[in-house]
Parts: sequence; C-alpha cells; structure tokens
Amino acid sequence: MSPRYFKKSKPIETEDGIQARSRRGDIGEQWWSRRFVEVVESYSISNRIRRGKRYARKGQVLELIVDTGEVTAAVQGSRPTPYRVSIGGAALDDDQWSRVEEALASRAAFVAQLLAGQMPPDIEEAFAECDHSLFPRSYREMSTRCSCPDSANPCKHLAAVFFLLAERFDDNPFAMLQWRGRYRDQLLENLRALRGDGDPDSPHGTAAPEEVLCVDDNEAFWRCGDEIDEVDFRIPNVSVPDATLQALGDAPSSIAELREELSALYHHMLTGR
Amino acid sequence: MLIFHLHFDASGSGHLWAEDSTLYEIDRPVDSSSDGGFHPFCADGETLCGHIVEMLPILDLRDFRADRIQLTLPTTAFGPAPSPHLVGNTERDVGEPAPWEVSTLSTRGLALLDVLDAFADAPASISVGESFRYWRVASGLADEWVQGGRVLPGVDNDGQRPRAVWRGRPSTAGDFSRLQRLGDAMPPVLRAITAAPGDGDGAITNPSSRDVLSTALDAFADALCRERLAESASVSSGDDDPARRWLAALTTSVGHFDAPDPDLPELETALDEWTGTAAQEDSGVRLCFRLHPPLTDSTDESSDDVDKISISEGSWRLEFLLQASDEPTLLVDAATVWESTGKTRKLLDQRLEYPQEKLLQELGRALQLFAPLKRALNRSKPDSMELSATEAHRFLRESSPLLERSRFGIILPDWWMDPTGRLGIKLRARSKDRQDVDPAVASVSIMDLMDFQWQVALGDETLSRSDLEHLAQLKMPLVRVGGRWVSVNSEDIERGLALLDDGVPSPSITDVLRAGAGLDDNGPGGLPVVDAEFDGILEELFDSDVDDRLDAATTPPGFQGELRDYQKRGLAWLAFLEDLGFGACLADDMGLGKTIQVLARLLAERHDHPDPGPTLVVAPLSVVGNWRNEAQEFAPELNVCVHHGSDRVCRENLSDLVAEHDLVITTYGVVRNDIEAMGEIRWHRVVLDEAQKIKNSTAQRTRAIRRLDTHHRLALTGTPVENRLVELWSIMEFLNPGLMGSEKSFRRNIARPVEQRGDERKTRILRRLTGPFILRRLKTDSSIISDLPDKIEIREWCHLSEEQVTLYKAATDKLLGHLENADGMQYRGLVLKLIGQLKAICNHPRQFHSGDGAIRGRAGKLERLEELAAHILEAGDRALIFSQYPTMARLIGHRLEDRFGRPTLLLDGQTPQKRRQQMIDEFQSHDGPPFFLLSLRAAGTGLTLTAANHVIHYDRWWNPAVEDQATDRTYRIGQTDDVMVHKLICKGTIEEAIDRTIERKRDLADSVLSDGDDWLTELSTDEIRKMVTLSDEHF
Repeated sequence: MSPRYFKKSKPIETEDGIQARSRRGDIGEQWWSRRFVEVVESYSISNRIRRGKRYARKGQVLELIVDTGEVTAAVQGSRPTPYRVSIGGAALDDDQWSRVEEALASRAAFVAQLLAGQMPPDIEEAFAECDHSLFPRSYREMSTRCSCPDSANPCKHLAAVFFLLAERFDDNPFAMLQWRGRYRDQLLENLRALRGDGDPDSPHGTAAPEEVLCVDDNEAFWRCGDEIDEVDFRIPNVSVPDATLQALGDAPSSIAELREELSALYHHMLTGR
Repeated sequence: MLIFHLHFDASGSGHLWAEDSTLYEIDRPVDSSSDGGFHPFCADGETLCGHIVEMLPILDLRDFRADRIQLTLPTTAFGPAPSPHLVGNTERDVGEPAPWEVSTLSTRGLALLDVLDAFADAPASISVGESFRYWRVASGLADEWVQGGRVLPGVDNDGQRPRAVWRGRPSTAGDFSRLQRLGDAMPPVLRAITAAPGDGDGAITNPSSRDVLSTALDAFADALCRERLAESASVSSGDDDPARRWLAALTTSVGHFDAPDPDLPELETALDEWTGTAAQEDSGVRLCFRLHPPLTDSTDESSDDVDKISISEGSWRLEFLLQASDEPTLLVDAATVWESTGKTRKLLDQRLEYPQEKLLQELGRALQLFAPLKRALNRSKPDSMELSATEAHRFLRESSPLLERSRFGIILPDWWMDPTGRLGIKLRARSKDRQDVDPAVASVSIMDLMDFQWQVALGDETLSRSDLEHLAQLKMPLVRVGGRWVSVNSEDIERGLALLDDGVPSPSITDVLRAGAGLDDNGPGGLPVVDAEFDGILEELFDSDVDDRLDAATTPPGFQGELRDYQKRGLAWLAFLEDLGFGACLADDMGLGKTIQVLARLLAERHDHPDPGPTLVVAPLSVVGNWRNEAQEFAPELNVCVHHGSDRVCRENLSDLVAEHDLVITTYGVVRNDIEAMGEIRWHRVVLDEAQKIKNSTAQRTRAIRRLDTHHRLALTGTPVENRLVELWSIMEFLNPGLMGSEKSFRRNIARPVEQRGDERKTRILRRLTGPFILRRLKTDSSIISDLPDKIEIREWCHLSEEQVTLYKAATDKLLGHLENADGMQYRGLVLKLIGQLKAICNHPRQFHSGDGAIRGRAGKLERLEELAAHILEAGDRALIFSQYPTMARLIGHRLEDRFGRPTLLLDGQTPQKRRQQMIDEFQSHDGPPFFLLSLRAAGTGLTLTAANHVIHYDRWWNPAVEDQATDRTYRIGQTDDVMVHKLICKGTIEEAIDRTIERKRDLADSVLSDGDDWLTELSTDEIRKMVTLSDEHF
C-alpha cells in the first residue's frame, strides 16, 4: 500500500460553536449515552475518533439538530464552508412505537424515570418486547453521512457529532427517544391516553404579590405578627449525622478529598464526638 | 432608658442599636440644620458600649465594632416615630417613611449567640424591642437545623476577606411551613434596613422578609455550628492548600481564611456545583411518603403482658401522596391522583398541570434515593407499596432523612420522633433498712442511705436480661414492646446487656440527681436515662412541697424573738439539705427574713453540736451592717465580727480571728482581694448574700468565691433566679458543683431551648434539677400571707463611705468643741446646726456641701437604696421615697433615673397644686413611673398613692406619727398588696440614736417630746456627745 499524502490542515477556529462539557477522558456521563458512544467507539479505533473528540471539545460543531429519525449537524472543518453531517436510519415506525408505548405504559417506572431526567435502565426490555432495540445494534445500522472529502466513516466530523449527541442525551433522555422517532410531547400524550388520563383544560397561574414595607401603623411596625406563636419545634432524632452531605452525591474532584473530614465535622456537631 | 433593637444586614452581620429615652423629646421639631438624616434619639456608640459593659457581662466588647446602618422608619413632622416600647401606646399620625441613620454595634459569628443569650438573661432595667423575641424564636429554628444536621458548608465572599460559612438547609415539610410563618410574623422594622448609608440617592429599597430571615437564619446556623465544633472538632490548619484552609476555617470562631485569587473562585465553583445539586426548583407540589405500621389485631393490644416483645407478621405500608410544598397539611393520595384526569386539575388548592405526570416525575426522582421503590413502579398506577420490617426500619433510619433533605414530604408514625422509644435506662433508688446503715459512721452521705438499681427499659416496660437476649436474637430493628412500636439498634442492646451484667460502678450523687431530673441523654453506659423512681429521702428531695412536708423546726434556743411558721419551715428545709450534703438557695421575697433564718440555723446547729465551726457571710458592703445588727438583735449569743476595711486583720492573724467567732461577715471585694488568705481557712459554711453577684462566672470575684473551702454552701437572693438562667447556673455551680454540667453545655442544652423555643421537656428538667435546692416564698403566697402582717417594717442598716466618715468626724469634733463654751441661744443654734449637718452627711456628702461632684458611689445609704430599687423594679413593684430634704430627693431622683433609665416623679413644697394632681394621676396609672420622690413635709398628708407597695424613708424624723402618716399614703384603703416599709439608717451614727428615740416613743405611746429637733437643745453637752459620736460600728 503506497503512503498517501495529505496536507496537514488546521480547522478554522469557531467563535460560538457547541463545546463538549467534558474536558478530558470520556464524553457521555450517563450509562445510556455511554452505551451510545460505545457503539461508535467499538466500530472504529482510528485516530479520527480522537480527533473528533478534540473537535467536539473545541467547539467545531456549529449546529446540532435532533429530529425524529435523523440528526443533522454543521461542522467547521479546515474549509470555509462547514461540512454537513447527518445520522439517520434510527426511527421506528408508528406501529412499532405503539407497541413500545404499550410496554412503557405497563410500568410506572419508565415514565417516572424519564420525567425525572433518567433513562430507565430496563427500558431496553420494553423495546425488546416488540423486537426492537433502543440503542443501534451496530454502527452500520445507522446511515451516516458527511460532506467532507475524507472517505473514512466515521470521519472526525461525524465522530465529533456523535460525542456532542451523547451529551445531548445525557441532559435529556427524551432526545434519544426523539431520534428514535417520538417527540417527547407525542410520547407523553400517547402514554396519557393509555393511562386513561383525559383531555386538556386551560392552564392558570398566579404570581406572588410583591412585599411592601408597611409603615402606616407605627404600633404594628415594631411588633411581631401573631404567627410567631405558631412556630413550634421538634428535636430531631438523627441517625445519619451527615445525611445532608450524603444526599449531595459525589463531590467534585477538587474537593473530593475533603469529603471524609467534612463528614467528621457533622459527626462532631451532632454527637459531640 | 435604652430600648435595644437587633437587625441583620444583607451580609449577615447583626446590628445592635438603641433608642435613648433621655434624648427623646416629644414634639421637638427636627433641627433643620442638622438634618443629615441622623436618627435624633438613637444612643451613640459610647452609650451602647457603656450599657453592655455594665449590664451584660456575657458580652465581650472586642467582638463588636462601631458601625452605622440606615433604617426606613415611620416618620412624623418631629422626626422618626419612637417605638411603642419607648413611649407606650403610640397613636401618632405617621407620614411618609424616611431613612434615618443609626449608630450600631455590629458583630458576626459566635458572638451573635452571646447577644441573644445576654439579652434573654438581662436585668429588668434593660429594655428590648420585639425584634429580640423574634430572633429568639427564629434562632430556635436554626438550632433545630444544626441539631438535625440540616446545614451545608460554603464560602461567603463579599469582596473583602472570604469566610468559610455554614448555611441552613431547610428541607422538611416542617421547615417550610415554619419559614412561612416566621416570614409572616416578622416585625416590619426588621425589613427597614437599607443599603449602607451613602449609597447614592436612588429610591430606597427594603429587603423582603424572606431575604432578611434567610440571611439571619444562616448567620445563626453558622454560629451554632461553630459553637458545637469549637468544643470537639479539630482540623489541622496552616496548610498550603486553600481548600484545606477553608475546611479548617469552618471550625473557627468567625471563619475567615485566605485564598489567593485563582484558587478562591475555583473553590467557590466546586462547592456551588456540589451543594447546588440538591437545590431543586420548587414547583408548589411534591411527593410525600406516609408510613403505616402493620395492622394489628385489636386482641393483640390487650394481651401485651402475655407477649412483651413481639414482631409483627404483617408488612408495613408506604403510601404515596402529593403535598403542597408551602402548606404541608394539604395532601392528596396517589389513588385520587390516578383517578383525576385532565391537563389541569384543581388539587391541593391549586391548579396543577398534568398532576399524574407530576406524581410520576416525583416518583422517578425518589427512586434514585430509595431503591425499593422500584417494586411499586413496576405497576402502572402505584399508590403505595409494602415494606418488610427490615425495609421499614431502613426507611425510617436512612431513607427518610435523605428523602426529606431532597424535599420530599415524609410523614412518619408519631412514635418515631419520641425519644422514649429508644432503649434507655431506669434508675430505682430505695432507702436501705435502718439496720443496714452502719451507725458507727459519723457522717452518712445520702449515697450510703440508698440502694441503687439500674434497669433497662423501653418506654414504660422494664426489660430483663432474657428480654434483651430475645431482642438481640430477633435481629429485628422494629418490634412491638408493650403495645407500641419501637426501634432498637443492636448497639443499644449490647449496651443494655453490659449494664445489666456490670451495673453502674458507684454512681455519684450527681449521676443520681441528673437521672432524677431526666437530664441525661447520655447517661451511664451510653444510654439515655428515661425514668427514675425514688423513695425515701430522694423522693422527698424532688417533692416540690418539701418544705411543707418536713416537720417544721422550732425556734432555736437563744433566738431572741419568735420565728414565723414559714421561717420555721425554711429552717427545717435548710437543715434537711445540709444534712444531705447539698448546697441550698434561699430565694424568699425581700422582707421575709432570709437573714433571720440563717441566724436561726446557726443557733440551731450549735444546739446539736457545741462547736460546728465558723460561718462566713459574703455580702455587698451595703448590707454588712444589716447582718451585724440583726445578729446582735436576734442571736446575741453568736460571736460576730466584720472582716472588712483597710484595717482588717492580716493573713497571719486571720485564722485566729476566725477561730474566735461563730460568724464572720465580709464583702465580695475582700474575698476577691484576700482569696489567698480566705482560701486557707476551712469554713463550716459559706453564705452568699445577694448571690446574683456571682452571675458572671468568669469574673474574678466569682472565681475567688468558688475557691473558698467549705463544708456547707448557702446562697441568698431575693431576685427570681429561676428566670435568669445563666445566673442560676452560676449560683447552682457554687452550691452543688458539677450538677448542672458545664456552663457551655448548660447554655446550649437547657438555657437556650427553654428561652428560644419554650422547650417544655427542658423546662421540666430544669425545674426538677434545680427545684430541690431553691426555696422561694413570695409575700403573695397564700400560706405566707396568712402568716404576715399586711404592713412589714424593715430597718435597712447602712454603712458610711470613707468620705462620709471623715466629714462626720470633722463636723462632730468641730461643733462639740464649740458647744463646750457656748450658752443660751448660741448653744441652741449650735446643737441644731450639728444635728442638721450630721443628718446631711449621713444622707450624702453632696447634701452637706452642695456642689457638683459625682452622685454615685459616695454614700452607703444611697447604695443601699439603689439595691432596694433594683429589687423593686425586678419585681415590677413601685415605691414612694420620702426625705425631709428636697435637695436630697432631687439627688436621689437623678441617680435612679441615671441608673435605671426610668423616669421618676418628684413632689416637694414648690410643686404647684395643679402639677401635684397630674403627678398623682401619672403615678397611679397602669404604666406609671416606678419611683415617686416626696418631701416629707410637702407630701406627708392628704395624698393617695396606693399604686406603690413599697415605702422608703431615706432619712428619719423624730416623730413616728409623721413617718406613719407618710407611710399611710399608700398603706390605706385601696391598697391591695402588702406594703413594705424600708427605713434606712446609718449604723453607729446620729440616725441610730434617732431610731432608738422613735422606738422608745412608740413603746411609750407618748408624745411628751415635741415634734422637731427642739427638744435636743434641752440636752446636756454630754448627752449630745453620746448621741452624735460615731461609734465603732460604723466600720
């Protein structure tokens, strides 16, 4: 095989491209976006994946639109015109979705977790029940295109889009379902119907009135309101002194090593030991 | 008078300021030239500091800095409207609010707690606005957060030096409802604080009550955390890593730390990122969990005795509900939510969009914190789930706090919060049979008289060893014991078993008393003491009417006079406590004869043992003469000496002096200065008169008193110590060291819960713990009233200051010399001049030679009067103060106003008739001034002043009828209280001679001698000399 020579090119810097949050290591924090990224990473181990990651971090992706069945993106490469990237072939059809929706409606856990911003770990079971898969079974199952001259697939531009898509999925698991063919609102409405939740009314809302400093009554100005007598106390029966800390989850790395000593402070405060 | 207010600014600093009644003038137009917006009657920084130093010894001025804030206050044409605390009812028209700048003392960190503690415990002469009441309650909530661990660390960076801070993390349903209530209850004045003065002329904006409250609660939470950490935690500082310096600063008193520029923002970001995750946008409703114990057969309840400990076969039910975040009592169960369909439904008094989805979303959020929930969510419309006993326990102990902190509602069974549901210990103390007590042991301690038994208990049930073993084998954390659900952790079971095996090795009397009071949350063996059962002496000790139940003592031989019944009961009570080895605090109302009871005690014990040893009385100088006089009068058998003055015996001779006397009377000052010498003596008893003098536990005086070596300890006070908790601690620490724990732990565990949130359990504990050692009878007690005349006359014996002694001696020497050679009219004139001068000197040097000099600290009599006045104010009483001399009445008025900041009234011969009636009406009105000064001549007759229940005769008149007439201004028809008549007499002076004359006249019931001083002129020079010469007893 004869060596081919490419002129080493630098991508044009962007000003308001989409930058990956992850600054080092893996991109995609949640298990479902990891699963998605792994499909790509396991398919190709070329440098293009690494460069794609760098692109994603540098903000070379200018635009990323997730639509039903297709993701489209614009990636700034070394040429002035950004490359067009699309990732498609992922949509289930309406019939397939109806079956998936029935499976999802059978267990409250699915919608509950989706609404709480989590992809239910066993959602694949719901897809499997109707012989489908939430995640692409392989890279080849997707139809991937990029307008760049590189013949390799994935190219670095495609790779960059995959990484940013993973972060999009991190934030909103509904985005993954949307790519698979169902908008959030549509999905929720169908599930509502399956639950027997009825028709919409009109929404209402009220804003809290602004608090005014009332100085009309000099007597009242200096006195406590009667509500003060209704403030009662109960002495906590604490069994987990640092529960407040525990509820925060893992500390950022820069202060993670203080975590144990902070816990100890809570123990000191609450038990005197 | 100062009215203190406490504000918090946006940075969380507390600002103390005060309205000063002496600067306030009704209807004085604001001087337009000085219209810099400065509040015309706020106390300046110096006045504030002065008051703090004098009245609030807990506070340390070094914690404060002079500062200024701007307040938006209701304003009239005459400037800012005064608070109702300053002027009583205000019905003045208030116009537009305007900003006024006030001087403050500001502080932050730990000292904030001292401010609340100090004012809660302040003497009656300190007045506060309602802001203090408000902050006391609010700080109770912060305290609850800290005790529940509902706080998070952070950084406070106001652009100056960064601080590591703790902030409250309100998280329970109760937190939010109370925040709401506190917000609603906030006095508007607390929101009146505006940005720092001088910040532009833009429109004034005031913070919301929510902002003010959360800033202050964070400041309190921060201080409370630091207080707890200061005692136990130590984090190594001096590290180069800024994050570690931040950590160390979390435990210091203020929390400042240094971090260079790039590090600080990084630390802040990391902390925000971490602690911010739990902060969720509150959407008005949230998921709430309600835990139900297994249903039990009703037959089960009655068959408890068959099966003391049982575990239930049934399972627990965890119910799901939606709850309004700001009104936790509004609940709708999940089943109803599943039934209600539609986009918006009216539920929980609000319109909810897709309530089913809200429920689902909340369930999804909860699933991350409580994994077993997954089982319920496998159904399509879950409304509850079943939990095993183990899961229910884990939910109670671990999951529910986590869920609560993530703002889920939790409704737990009531018994879960009840501390008696924990495994605890019970103390049973039984009197030994008489024959078991070794009669050979001379002094028997209470511990020798009792058998102690420690038992392990759950609620009301006593558990045997096999019960505990049964519990241990069950490995079931939630069990039913005696019909109620309780949780038992395995560590507690281990502790209980150890206790039953080994017992409590030789409990101290302190252990026993604390157990008896229910104080020990962490008693012997690491278990809380939940109950104590006593019989015999210990039962009597905790009996609130112990003085009634004891056999009243008899008047001891040698006592001149007859003790009243309540005094005999007091005597028996003193003997009872002293025999048990306890210190006692006799806190009878002024005038009930505390001194007499102590003297009777000394006589009685000498009746039992010939030489019990010396008793030391430590008293303020102003009552030292009183002690000696009463001892001479009522217990002449006692050898009494006064150890005071620059000519007092030196260290080498002190023990000889003490050996020769039964009663040594000294002052607090002497004990403080001579503690090395006084500490060498082994006293039989130390009596502290006006024991509130040792309230400042760190003062040198108090430390010296504690060093005295004594067998018995006795404290006398006429002030209601039970309401002054820090004072109470200090007195109890003197009487029964160690009983109340350290001052810090007392302040934290007892004083503050009682003062902040009226904690009933702690109040009960406090009463149980101190009750046995304090005997306080009020003049108004029905049992005392029947025993008392409705007019009580007390002679208050006073001393002369050194200045007075010098003046007195000089005047007598000079005029007596002239008398020798005088005759006729000249003699008459000289005698009258002499008497007049000596009476003036006794009253006050300033009455003798008029001039400007200071008023305070120059006359023993005035000092005594001030003390009486303090007691009178304390009790909410009012007094008439008579003097023959208008000059003196005016001096007294100035001094009292100065010291107590309360207005006084003065009526003398020059008062116009119309003004007289105004004064009388003013004094008789509900909120009238506490002190009315009257000249004896001008006001001796015709006035009705029944609002007073004290009459003080500052100086004496020869004719008792004149005094009695004056007294009758208040002791007359319309008087509903008993009247106390105080007659001030300088010991060893002409005044004592006058007193003797008056008493003689009263006895003879004659008025042979004419009114006035004239009869004196008939006396011979020798008789005069005898009468006026200063006797040695003036000391």
